[in-house]
Amino acid sequence: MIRFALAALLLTCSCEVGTLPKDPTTAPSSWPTVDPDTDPVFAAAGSSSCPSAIENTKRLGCGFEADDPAKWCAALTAAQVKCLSASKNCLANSRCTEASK
Amino acid sequence: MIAVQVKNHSTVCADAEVKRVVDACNKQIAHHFGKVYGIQAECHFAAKDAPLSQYDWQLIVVDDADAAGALGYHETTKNGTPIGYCFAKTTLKYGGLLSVTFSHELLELLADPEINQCVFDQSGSKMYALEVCDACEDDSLAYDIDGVKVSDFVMPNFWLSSTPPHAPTSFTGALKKALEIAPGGYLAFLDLHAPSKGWQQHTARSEGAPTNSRLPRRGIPADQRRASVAQ
Repeated sequence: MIRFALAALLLTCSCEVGTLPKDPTTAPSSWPTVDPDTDPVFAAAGSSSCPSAIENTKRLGCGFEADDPAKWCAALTAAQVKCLSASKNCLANSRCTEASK
Repeated sequence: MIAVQVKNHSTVCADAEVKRVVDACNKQIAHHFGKVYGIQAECHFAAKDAPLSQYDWQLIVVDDADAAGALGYHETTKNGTPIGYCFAKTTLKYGGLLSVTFSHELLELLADPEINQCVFDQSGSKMYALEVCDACEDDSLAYDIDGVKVSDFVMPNFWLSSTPPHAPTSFTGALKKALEIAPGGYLAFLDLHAPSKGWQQHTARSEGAPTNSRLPRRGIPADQRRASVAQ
Protein backbone atom coordinates (compact mmCIF):
# COMPACT_ATOMS: atom_id res chain seq x y z
CA MET A 1 0.00 0.00 0.00
CA ILE A 2 2.84 2.36 0.93
CA ARG A 3 4.74 1.43 -2.24
CA PHE A 4 1.65 2.18 -4.27
CA ALA A 5 1.24 5.57 -2.62
CA LEU A 6 4.89 6.45 -3.25
CA ALA A 7 4.65 5.44 -6.86
CA ALA A 8 1.52 7.52 -7.27
CA LEU A 9 3.27 10.50 -5.66
CA LEU A 10 6.32 10.20 -7.94
CA LEU A 11 4.07 9.91 -10.97
CA THR A 12 2.17 13.01 -9.90
CA CYS A 13 5.36 14.97 -9.38
CA SER A 14 6.89 13.96 -12.67
CA CYS A 15 3.69 14.89 -14.45
CA GLU A 16 3.69 18.33 -12.82
CA VAL A 17 7.33 18.90 -13.77
CA GLY A 18 6.42 17.96 -17.30
CA THR A 19 3.67 20.54 -17.38
CA LEU A 20 5.83 23.46 -16.21
CA PRO A 21 5.92 26.30 -18.71
CA LYS A 22 9.12 26.96 -20.61
CA ASP A 23 11.52 29.45 -19.12
CA PRO A 24 10.90 32.66 -21.07
CA THR A 25 14.00 33.87 -22.85
CA THR A 26 12.50 37.02 -24.21
CA ALA A 27 10.86 39.63 -22.05
CA PRO A 28 7.40 40.71 -23.09
CA SER A 29 7.54 43.86 -25.16
CA SER A 30 5.30 45.56 -22.62
CA TRP A 31 8.05 45.49 -19.99
CA PRO A 32 10.03 48.76 -19.64
CA THR A 33 13.73 48.64 -20.29
CA VAL A 34 15.86 49.39 -17.23
CA ASP A 35 19.62 49.77 -17.27
CA PRO A 36 20.90 47.59 -14.41
CA ASP A 37 24.04 49.73 -14.07
CA THR A 38 22.00 52.76 -13.08
CA ASP A 39 19.09 51.08 -11.35
CA PRO A 40 19.41 50.91 -7.55
CA VAL A 41 16.45 48.57 -7.29
CA PHE A 42 18.27 46.04 -9.44
CA ALA A 43 21.19 46.08 -7.05
CA ALA A 44 18.93 45.92 -4.02
CA ALA A 45 17.06 42.95 -5.41
CA GLY A 46 20.09 40.73 -5.02
CA SER A 47 21.90 41.14 -8.29
CA SER A 48 25.51 40.16 -8.59
CA SER A 49 26.62 43.65 -7.58
CA CYS A 50 25.12 44.33 -4.20
CA PRO A 51 26.03 40.99 -2.62
CA SER A 52 29.59 41.67 -3.70
CA ALA A 53 29.42 45.06 -1.99
CA ILE A 54 28.19 43.38 1.18
CA GLU A 55 30.80 40.66 0.87
CA ASN A 56 33.63 43.14 0.44
CA THR A 57 32.43 45.25 3.36
CA LYS A 58 32.20 42.12 5.51
CA ARG A 59 35.65 41.00 4.37
CA LEU A 60 37.12 44.31 5.43
CA GLY A 61 35.26 44.12 8.75
CA CYS A 62 33.88 47.65 8.50
CA GLY A 63 30.48 46.72 9.95
CA PHE A 64 28.58 49.25 7.85
CA GLU A 65 26.20 46.60 6.54
CA ALA A 66 25.74 44.81 9.85
CA ASP A 67 22.45 46.25 11.13
CA ASP A 68 20.28 45.27 8.19
CA PRO A 69 22.15 44.25 5.02
CA ALA A 70 19.01 44.21 2.88
CA LYS A 71 17.96 47.69 3.96
CA TRP A 72 21.52 48.97 3.61
CA CYS A 73 21.70 47.48 0.15
CA ALA A 74 18.37 48.91 -0.91
CA ALA A 75 19.54 52.44 -0.18
CA LEU A 76 22.61 52.22 -2.42
CA THR A 77 22.98 53.58 -5.93
CA ALA A 78 24.74 51.55 -8.58
CA ALA A 79 27.78 53.82 -8.36
CA GLN A 80 27.97 53.29 -4.60
CA VAL A 81 27.65 49.53 -5.04
CA LYS A 82 30.53 49.57 -7.51
CA CYS A 83 32.63 51.69 -5.16
CA LEU A 84 31.86 49.48 -2.14
CA SER A 85 32.71 46.33 -4.08
CA ALA A 86 36.12 47.65 -5.07
CA SER A 87 37.22 49.47 -1.91
CA LYS A 88 40.45 48.27 -0.34
CA ASN A 89 39.97 49.52 3.22
CA CYS A 90 37.21 50.74 5.52
CA LEU A 91 37.98 54.42 5.08
CA ALA A 92 37.59 54.11 1.32
CA ASN A 93 34.53 51.96 1.91
CA SER A 94 32.93 54.61 4.11
CA ARG A 95 33.70 57.34 1.57
CA CYS A 96 31.58 55.46 -0.98
CA THR A 97 28.42 56.37 0.90
CA GLU A 98 29.61 59.49 2.65
CA ALA A 99 27.26 61.81 0.81
CA SER A 100 24.26 59.87 2.07
CA LYS A 101 25.30 60.07 5.72
CA MET B 1 24.95 54.27 24.96
CA ILE B 2 28.15 55.41 26.64
CA ALA B 3 28.21 59.11 27.48
CA VAL B 4 31.58 60.83 27.60
CA GLN B 5 31.69 64.26 29.16
CA VAL B 6 34.35 66.52 27.64
CA LYS B 7 35.78 69.53 29.45
CA ASN B 8 38.40 72.00 28.29
CA HIS B 9 40.77 73.21 31.00
CA SER B 10 43.60 74.13 28.66
CA THR B 11 44.82 77.68 28.08
CA VAL B 12 46.04 77.09 24.54
CA CYS B 13 42.90 75.71 22.99
CA ALA B 14 39.57 77.54 22.67
CA ASP B 15 36.29 75.88 23.59
CA ALA B 16 35.10 76.34 20.01
CA GLU B 17 38.02 74.29 18.72
CA VAL B 18 37.38 71.50 21.23
CA LYS B 19 33.68 71.49 20.29
CA ARG B 20 34.63 71.12 16.63
CA VAL B 21 36.85 68.17 17.51
CA VAL B 22 34.05 66.65 19.60
CA ASP B 23 31.65 66.89 16.66
CA ALA B 24 34.12 65.17 14.33
CA CYS B 25 34.85 62.45 16.89
CA ASN B 26 31.15 61.81 17.40
CA LYS B 27 30.90 61.17 13.66
CA GLN B 28 33.96 58.93 13.82
CA ILE B 29 32.33 56.86 16.56
CA ALA B 30 28.90 56.73 14.93
CA HIS B 31 30.01 55.96 11.38
CA HIS B 32 33.41 54.28 11.69
CA PHE B 33 34.73 53.07 15.04
CA GLY B 34 31.37 52.16 16.54
CA LYS B 35 30.41 50.12 13.47
CA VAL B 36 33.65 48.15 13.57
CA TYR B 37 33.62 47.48 17.31
CA GLY B 38 29.89 47.48 18.01
CA ILE B 39 30.23 50.34 20.46
CA GLN B 40 27.64 53.08 20.90
CA ALA B 41 28.96 56.24 22.51
CA GLU B 42 28.64 59.99 22.30
CA CYS B 43 30.71 62.87 23.62
CA HIS B 44 29.10 65.93 25.18
CA PHE B 45 31.04 69.15 25.61
CA ALA B 46 30.43 70.60 29.07
CA ALA B 47 31.35 73.80 30.86
CA LYS B 48 34.23 73.63 33.32
CA ASP B 49 31.91 73.72 36.33
CA ALA B 50 29.23 71.42 34.91
CA PRO B 51 28.20 68.55 37.23
CA LEU B 52 29.16 65.02 36.30
CA SER B 53 26.74 62.12 36.28
CA GLN B 54 28.09 59.09 38.10
CA TYR B 55 27.62 57.17 34.85
CA ASP B 56 29.52 59.59 32.62
CA TRP B 57 32.97 58.81 31.40
CA GLN B 58 35.32 61.76 31.01
CA LEU B 59 37.83 63.16 28.57
CA ILE B 60 39.63 66.25 29.83
CA VAL B 61 41.74 68.63 27.76
CA VAL B 62 44.48 70.20 29.89
CA ASP B 63 47.74 71.99 29.13
CA ASP B 64 50.61 69.78 30.23
CA ALA B 65 51.37 66.14 30.73
CA ASP B 66 51.61 64.99 34.33
CA ALA B 67 53.33 61.82 33.11
CA ALA B 68 56.62 62.09 31.30
CA GLY B 69 56.52 61.19 27.66
CA ALA B 70 52.79 61.38 27.11
CA LEU B 71 50.58 63.48 24.86
CA GLY B 72 47.59 61.87 26.51
CA TYR B 73 46.58 58.81 28.45
CA HIS B 74 43.57 57.18 30.02
CA GLU B 75 42.89 55.49 33.33
CA THR B 76 40.05 55.13 35.83
CA THR B 77 38.90 57.45 38.59
CA LYS B 78 38.69 56.35 42.21
CA ASN B 79 35.04 55.61 41.52
CA GLY B 80 36.03 53.27 38.73
CA THR B 81 34.76 55.32 35.81
CA PRO B 82 37.07 55.72 32.81
CA ILE B 83 38.81 59.05 32.30
CA GLY B 84 41.14 60.24 29.57
CA TYR B 85 43.46 63.21 29.36
CA CYS B 86 44.54 65.11 26.30
CA PHE B 87 47.54 67.36 26.84
CA ALA B 88 47.05 70.30 24.51
CA LYS B 89 50.18 72.33 25.19
CA THR B 90 52.43 69.26 25.13
CA THR B 91 50.88 68.08 21.88
CA LEU B 92 51.36 71.47 20.24
CA LYS B 93 54.91 71.77 21.62
CA TYR B 94 55.89 68.60 19.79
CA GLY B 95 54.15 69.70 16.60
CA GLY B 96 51.27 67.29 17.01
CA LEU B 97 47.63 67.73 16.22
CA LEU B 98 45.34 68.17 19.21
CA SER B 99 42.44 66.55 17.39
CA VAL B 100 44.48 63.40 16.76
CA THR B 101 45.52 63.15 20.40
CA PHE B 102 41.90 63.68 21.45
CA SER B 103 40.55 61.09 19.01
CA HIS B 104 43.29 58.63 19.99
CA GLU B 105 42.48 58.83 23.70
CA LEU B 106 38.75 58.72 23.09
CA LEU B 107 38.87 55.56 20.98
CA GLU B 108 41.23 53.82 23.40
CA LEU B 109 39.04 54.86 26.31
CA LEU B 110 36.08 53.20 24.61
CA ALA B 111 37.93 50.06 23.52
CA ASP B 112 39.67 49.32 26.81
CA PRO B 113 38.04 51.46 29.50
CA GLU B 114 39.77 49.84 32.47
CA ILE B 115 43.12 49.30 30.73
CA ASN B 116 42.98 45.62 31.50
CA GLN B 117 42.44 44.02 28.09
CA CYS B 118 45.27 42.12 26.48
CA VAL B 119 45.94 39.77 23.58
CA PHE B 120 48.30 36.78 23.62
CA ASP B 121 50.36 36.14 20.53
CA GLN B 122 50.01 32.72 18.94
CA SER B 123 53.15 31.34 20.53
CA GLY B 124 52.01 32.47 23.95
CA SER B 125 55.30 34.20 24.66
CA LYS B 126 53.98 37.75 24.60
CA MET B 127 50.94 39.54 25.84
CA TYR B 128 49.98 42.75 24.02
CA ALA B 129 48.04 45.63 25.51
CA LEU B 130 44.82 46.06 23.58
CA GLU B 131 45.32 49.69 22.61
CA VAL B 132 43.61 50.41 19.34
CA CYS B 133 45.51 53.50 18.19
CA ASP B 134 49.12 53.02 19.31
CA ALA B 135 50.35 51.05 16.30
CA CYS B 136 49.07 53.70 13.89
CA GLU B 137 49.24 56.80 16.07
CA ASP B 138 51.38 59.00 13.85
CA ASP B 139 49.64 62.17 12.74
CA SER B 140 50.52 61.41 9.12
CA LEU B 141 48.10 58.45 9.24
CA ALA B 142 45.18 60.50 10.56
CA TYR B 143 42.18 61.01 8.32
CA ASP B 144 39.77 63.83 7.78
CA ILE B 145 36.20 64.27 9.05
CA ASP B 146 34.65 67.66 8.25
CA GLY B 147 38.09 69.24 8.07
CA VAL B 148 39.23 67.76 11.41
CA LYS B 149 42.00 65.15 11.52
CA VAL B 150 41.15 62.07 13.60
CA SER B 151 43.29 59.09 14.53
CA ASP B 152 43.50 55.91 12.51
CA PHE B 153 42.73 52.79 14.58
CA VAL B 154 43.40 49.07 14.25
CA MET B 155 40.71 46.64 13.16
CA PRO B 156 39.89 43.50 15.18
CA ASN B 157 41.84 41.40 12.66
CA PHE B 158 45.00 43.27 13.70
CA TRP B 159 45.26 40.86 16.65
CA LEU B 160 44.51 37.64 14.74
CA SER B 161 47.26 35.25 13.66
CA SER B 162 44.95 34.02 10.90
CA THR B 163 44.85 37.43 9.20
CA PRO B 164 46.24 36.97 5.68
CA PRO B 165 49.13 39.16 4.49
CA HIS B 166 48.12 42.40 2.75
CA ALA B 167 44.73 42.48 4.50
CA PRO B 168 44.01 45.96 5.83
CA THR B 169 44.37 45.84 9.60
CA SER B 170 43.74 49.50 10.33
CA PHE B 171 40.74 51.59 9.34
CA THR B 172 42.63 53.63 6.74
CA GLY B 173 44.47 50.59 5.43
CA ALA B 174 47.84 52.02 6.50
CA LEU B 175 48.54 48.76 8.37
CA LYS B 176 48.40 45.67 6.21
CA LYS B 177 49.15 42.71 8.46
CA ALA B 178 48.61 41.55 12.02
CA LEU B 179 50.71 43.31 14.67
CA GLU B 180 52.29 45.63 12.11
CA ILE B 181 53.56 48.90 13.55
CA ALA B 182 53.61 52.00 11.37
CA PRO B 183 56.50 54.47 11.64
CA GLY B 184 55.82 56.66 14.65
CA GLY B 185 53.70 53.98 16.30
CA TYR B 186 54.35 51.37 18.96
CA LEU B 187 52.90 48.35 20.70
CA ALA B 188 53.11 47.72 24.44
CA PHE B 189 53.79 44.12 25.40
CA LEU B 190 54.76 41.93 28.30
CA ASP B 191 57.36 39.27 27.61
CA LEU B 192 55.95 36.24 29.41
CA HIS B 193 59.39 34.59 29.43
CA ALA B 194 60.77 37.63 31.25
CA PRO B 195 57.83 39.22 33.06
CA SER B 196 60.17 40.94 35.49
CA LYS B 197 61.10 43.35 32.69
CA GLY B 198 57.59 44.74 32.93
CA TRP B 199 55.80 46.39 30.04
CA GLN B 200 58.00 47.03 27.02
CA GLN B 201 57.48 48.66 23.67
CA HIS B 202 57.87 47.50 20.11
CA THR B 203 58.45 50.39 17.74
CA ALA B 204 58.58 50.49 13.97
CA ARG B 205 62.04 50.12 12.54
CA SER B 206 63.48 51.40 9.31
CA GLU B 207 66.84 50.06 8.17
CA GLY B 208 67.42 48.68 11.63
CA ALA B 209 66.94 51.93 13.50
CA PRO B 210 63.93 53.05 15.53
CA THR B 211 61.94 55.74 13.75
CA ASN B 212 60.15 58.76 15.04
CA SER B 213 61.01 58.16 18.67
CA ARG B 214 61.14 61.91 19.20
CA LEU B 215 57.48 62.27 20.04
CA PRO B 216 56.13 61.39 23.42
CA ARG B 217 53.80 58.43 23.26
CA ARG B 218 50.09 58.62 23.38
CA GLY B 219 48.29 56.10 25.46
CA ILE B 220 49.23 55.16 28.96
CA PRO B 221 53.01 54.80 29.27
CA ALA B 222 54.04 51.17 29.09
CA ASP B 223 55.70 51.17 32.49
CA GLN B 224 52.59 52.67 34.04
CA ARG B 225 50.05 50.34 32.46
CA ARG B 226 47.93 49.19 35.30
CA ALA B 227 44.46 49.74 36.68
CA SER B 228 45.60 53.07 38.02
CA VAL B 229 43.48 55.34 40.14
CA ALA B 230 43.15 59.06 39.57
CA GLN B 231 42.73 61.64 42.27
